[in-house]
Amino acid sequence: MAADRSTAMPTGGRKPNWELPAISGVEVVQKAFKPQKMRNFESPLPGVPSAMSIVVTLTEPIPVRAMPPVLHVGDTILTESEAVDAEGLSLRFWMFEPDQVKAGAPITLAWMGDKPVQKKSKFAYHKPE
Amino acid sequence: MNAKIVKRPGNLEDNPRVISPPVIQEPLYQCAISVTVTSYEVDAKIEIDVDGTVTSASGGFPVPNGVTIGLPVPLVAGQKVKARQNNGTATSSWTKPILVGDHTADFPAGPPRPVINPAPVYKCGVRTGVSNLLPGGTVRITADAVKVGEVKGCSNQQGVDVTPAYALNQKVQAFFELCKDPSSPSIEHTTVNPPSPLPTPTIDTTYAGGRSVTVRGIVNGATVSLARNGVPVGTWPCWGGSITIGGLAVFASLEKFTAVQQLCPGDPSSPPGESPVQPCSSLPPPQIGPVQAGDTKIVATHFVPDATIKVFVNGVQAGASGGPVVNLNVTLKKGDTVIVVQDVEGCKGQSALEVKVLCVDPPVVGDPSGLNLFPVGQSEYSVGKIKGSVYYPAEADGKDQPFHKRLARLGRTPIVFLLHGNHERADPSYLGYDYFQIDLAKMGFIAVSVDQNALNASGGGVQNILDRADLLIDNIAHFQTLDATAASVFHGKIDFARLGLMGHSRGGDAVVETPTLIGLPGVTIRAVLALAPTNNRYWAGLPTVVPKGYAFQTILPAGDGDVRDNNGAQFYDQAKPGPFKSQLYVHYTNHNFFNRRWAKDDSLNFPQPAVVSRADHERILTVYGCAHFRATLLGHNTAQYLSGDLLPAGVLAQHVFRSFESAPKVMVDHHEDGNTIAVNSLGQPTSQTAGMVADEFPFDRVPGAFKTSFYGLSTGMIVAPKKKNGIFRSQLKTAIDVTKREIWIRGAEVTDGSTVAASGTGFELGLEDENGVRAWVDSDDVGGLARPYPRNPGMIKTMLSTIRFRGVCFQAVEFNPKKVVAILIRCNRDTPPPIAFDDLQIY
Repeated sequence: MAADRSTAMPTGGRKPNWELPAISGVEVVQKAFKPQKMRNFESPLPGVPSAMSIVVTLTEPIPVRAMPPVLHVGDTILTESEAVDAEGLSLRFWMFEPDQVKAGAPITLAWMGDKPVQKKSKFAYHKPE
Repeated sequence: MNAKIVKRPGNLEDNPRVISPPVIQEPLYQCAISVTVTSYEVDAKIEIDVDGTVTSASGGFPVPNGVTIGLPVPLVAGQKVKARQNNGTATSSWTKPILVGDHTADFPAGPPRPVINPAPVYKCGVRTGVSNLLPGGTVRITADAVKVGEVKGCSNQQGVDVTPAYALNQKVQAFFELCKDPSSPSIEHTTVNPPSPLPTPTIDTTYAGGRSVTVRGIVNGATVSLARNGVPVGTWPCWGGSITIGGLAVFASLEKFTAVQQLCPGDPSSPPGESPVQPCSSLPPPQIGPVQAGDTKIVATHFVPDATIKVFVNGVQAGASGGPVVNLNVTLKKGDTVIVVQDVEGCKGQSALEVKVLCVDPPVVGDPSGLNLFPVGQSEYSVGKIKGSVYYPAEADGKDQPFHKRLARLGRTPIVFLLHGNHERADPSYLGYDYFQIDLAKMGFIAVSVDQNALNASGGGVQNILDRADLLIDNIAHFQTLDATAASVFHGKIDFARLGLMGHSRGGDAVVETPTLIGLPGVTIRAVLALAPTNNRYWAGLPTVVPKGYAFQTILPAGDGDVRDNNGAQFYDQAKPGPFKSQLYVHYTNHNFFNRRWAKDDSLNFPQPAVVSRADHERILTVYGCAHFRATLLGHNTAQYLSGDLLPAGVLAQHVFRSFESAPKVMVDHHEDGNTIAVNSLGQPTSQTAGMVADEFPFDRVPGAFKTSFYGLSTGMIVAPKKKNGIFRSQLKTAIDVTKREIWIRGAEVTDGSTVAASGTGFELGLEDENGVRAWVDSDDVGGLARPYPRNPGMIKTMLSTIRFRGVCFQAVEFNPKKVVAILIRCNRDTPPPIAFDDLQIY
C-alpha cells in the first residue's frame, strides 16, 4: 500500500484566544465600595466609602480565563472587577485610592501582569463632577 | 543515574559461590496457602521456611512470575517466613524473615478488589489476568455469574485459565477471598469481539545460548503457538500483552522462531511474527533502576528472562540471581563502582553496565494512586446553586449505589472537595476531575467536585475568590446536611474532621482562602492542594494568605500559559508545615490539561516547549494528589513520594521538581530573620571566604530582587562568587551527629528571566567537624541543581527545589560526622554563575 500524504491539521483551534476587546466607553462615578455580604463568613475586604466605580463598555466580552482583566488608570492598576450586564459587555472596576490618580490619566485594559495592549487610549480618567 | 555501557572487564572474576537470596512476594497474610518467590536463577531449587518447616520446589524459570509454591498448611499470623535458592553449585543465604500478618488489620473493610488486567475481555478468550490480589488467596472468574476459572493460592498478578471460552456479550467479573473473607468483586466487563485480523506478534530479540522467548502484541485471552525453525514447539494461553516461554533447549545463532496467535476456532490465526536468534556476542548488559548509597540490592529493568544477572562492586562479585532483583552481600556507598552483566546458559555477556553510586538517587517504587479497595458509586446533586458530583466507596460500581457497608461499619470516611477555576460557562468544568475523584473513591475517600460555573465570569479579583470560597462552604454544609439525613446515602458516613480541599486555578486561590474563613462546626481541614492557583490578594496588594494548620501542597505547571507567574510558589513560601508542605514544579505541563473539560492548550500562547499529553497531566495530579491526601487524611506512608524518598511509578517523575519541608531537626537558615547575611537563623555567625560573595535578597517580584526571575514570596540567599571555590560557612549552635541525618537546602540556578545557560551548574555542600576537618558532597551526586524551564523569554523562572544530602555520604580522612559544627557551600565550578539558596535545614 502506498504511503499517504496529507495537509497538517490546523492548530489554531487548540490555542485559547485571549485577545482583549477594545474599550468603547467609560463611566466614572463616585460610589462607596461595600463588600458583598457573604453567606458563611464576614468579608475580609474593607469597605471604602470614597471609592470610584469605573464602568467600561467593551466591543466584545472579555475571554474567561484564570487571570483577571485589570484596568490601568495611569500608573494605578485596578484589580477588582465585576460584570455589570449578562452579556459581559460592561465591566465595573473599583478604584480604592482615587486621590492618588491624576486627572487625565489614560485608561487602558490589560490582563493581570501584562502591559496594556493599547498603546494609546481614547479614554482618560476624570473625577466626576 | 551515572551509568555507561562498557566492555565486560577482563579482570572481573566470577565467583560461583556468590548467589543472592531470592525475593518473597509480599505481603504475607494468615490463611495464604502458597508463597510466591521471584528473582532466582533458572531451575534453582527454592526452599521456603515457615517457622522451621521447610518446603522446597524447583523454581523453573523465574520470569515473568516467579514460582508459586504450595504450603502443607496455611500460614498463621505471627509466623516468620524466609526463602533461599540453590543452583546446584551454591546455596544463597536466607532472605530476611517476613512476618505473617492478618489481612484484616491492613484491610479491615475487606481485601482489595481484584482487577481484570489486562482488559477488555474478548469473545473466545481462554485466559484472563487478574491483579491487585493478596498472595496465597483464591481468585475466581465468572461469566454471566457462572464460574469459568479459579486459582487457589494465587500470586498478586494471576493468570486464570477459562473454560469454556468466553462467548460474546458475557458479563465477566473476578472475585477474591482470603480466610473466607471476600473482597468486593472486580469491575464488570462485557466481552467484545476481538480485533480482526489478529495483529502479528512480535518476538523479543533472543541470543544464542538462551532458553526463553518473549512474544508480545498478544490479544487478551488468545493462544500463542511458537515454532522453532518451522517445527512447532507448543501452544500457550495468554492473558494478553506478552508471554514468556521458558525451558526451551539452548538456542543456536541463526535459528529462527515464529509465533502466531489465535482466538476463535475457525477464525484465521494472525500472520506469523519472526525473529532470528542473535549471536552471543550481541547479548547486551541489563539495564537497571536508580542506585544510591545505602542500597543493598540492584533492580534490573530490562534483561533477558533466563539470564543470571551478576553484580560486581568495586571489582568483587556481590550478587548473582535471576531478575529483576539481585540482592547484594554488601551495602553500597557513594562513589562505589558497580558493574552489572547478564549471562545465559550458553553465553557469557561481553558487555557490561558500569554505574557510579550516587549519594541520592531514589528508587521507583509503587504508585500512591493505585490503592484500589472499593467499587465506586457516583451521584450528582443540585440544590439551587449548590451543585456538583460526588464519587464514593460503594457496594457496587455505578450511579446512586449504596455506600460500602463494611467501610461504613468501621467509622466515618474522610472527604475531599474539589474546586475548578474560571472557565467558559458552557463547559461543565466540575466534571473535569472525574479521574481523580474515582481514584480517591476507590481508596476510601468521598470525593466531591463542586460546580462553580455560576461564578465563572470575565471579571475578577479578591471578591471573586471570596465568592468561590463561600460557595464551597455552602457545599460542605450541604454534605453536613446529607450526613444528618436518614434517607441519604451519606447518612452518618462523613468524617468532617478529616477534610481535604483541592482547587485548580482560581479554585486553588479559593481553597487557600477557605480555611481562614470557614466557621462550620465539626469541620477540620487537614490538607489543601492548590493546583496552578492564582493569588488575587497578591495582585491587589493585600497580604498573601499564610497556609497553616494543615498540610499544604501546590502543583505548578512550568509551561502554564494562563497563571504563568506560578503564584502557588508564593503560597508554598509562606506556608507553615502542618505537618508538611510540598511544592511540585512540573516541567512540560500547562494550565488546562488537568481538567478534562478544558480542551485548549494554553501553553501555545507563548513560544515554549511542547507539553506532555493530557493523560500524563492527569497522572501527575492523581499520583501526587493521592499521595498528599492519603498521607494527611488516611495516615498512609505516602508523604515519602512528596519528600523524594521514593519516586512513584507510572508518572513522569523526571519532570517533577520537588520542594518539601516538615518539622526539621535544626533550621539553620531561612533568611527571614532580618539579621543580615552575617548571621543565620540559629543566631550563629556566617562567613564568606576564598572569593565568595553572598547576600540575602527578596525572592519576589519586587524592587531589590537579584533578578526579575524570582516568583516566590520569601527571602533567600544568592551566592555569586568572584572565583572558583568560594566558600560560604554557616555555623551551628552545637555539634550535631549527622550519621543518620540529612542536610536539606533549596536551590536553583539563577536565570536572568530570558535566557537559560547552555550548561547547568552546581556546587558542593560541605560539613565541618569540631576539629575543622571538612568533607564535601557534590550537588550532582544527589540529583543535581534544577535547571530553569526554557519557556518564553521574560518568563523564565528561578524556581527553587529541595536538594537532599545524606549524612552518610560525607567522608574524608579524619572527618568526624558525629561532631559537625558548620555547614558549607563551595562553588567549585569553573565559571560559577549565581545560585539561589533558601531553607538550609538538618533532618
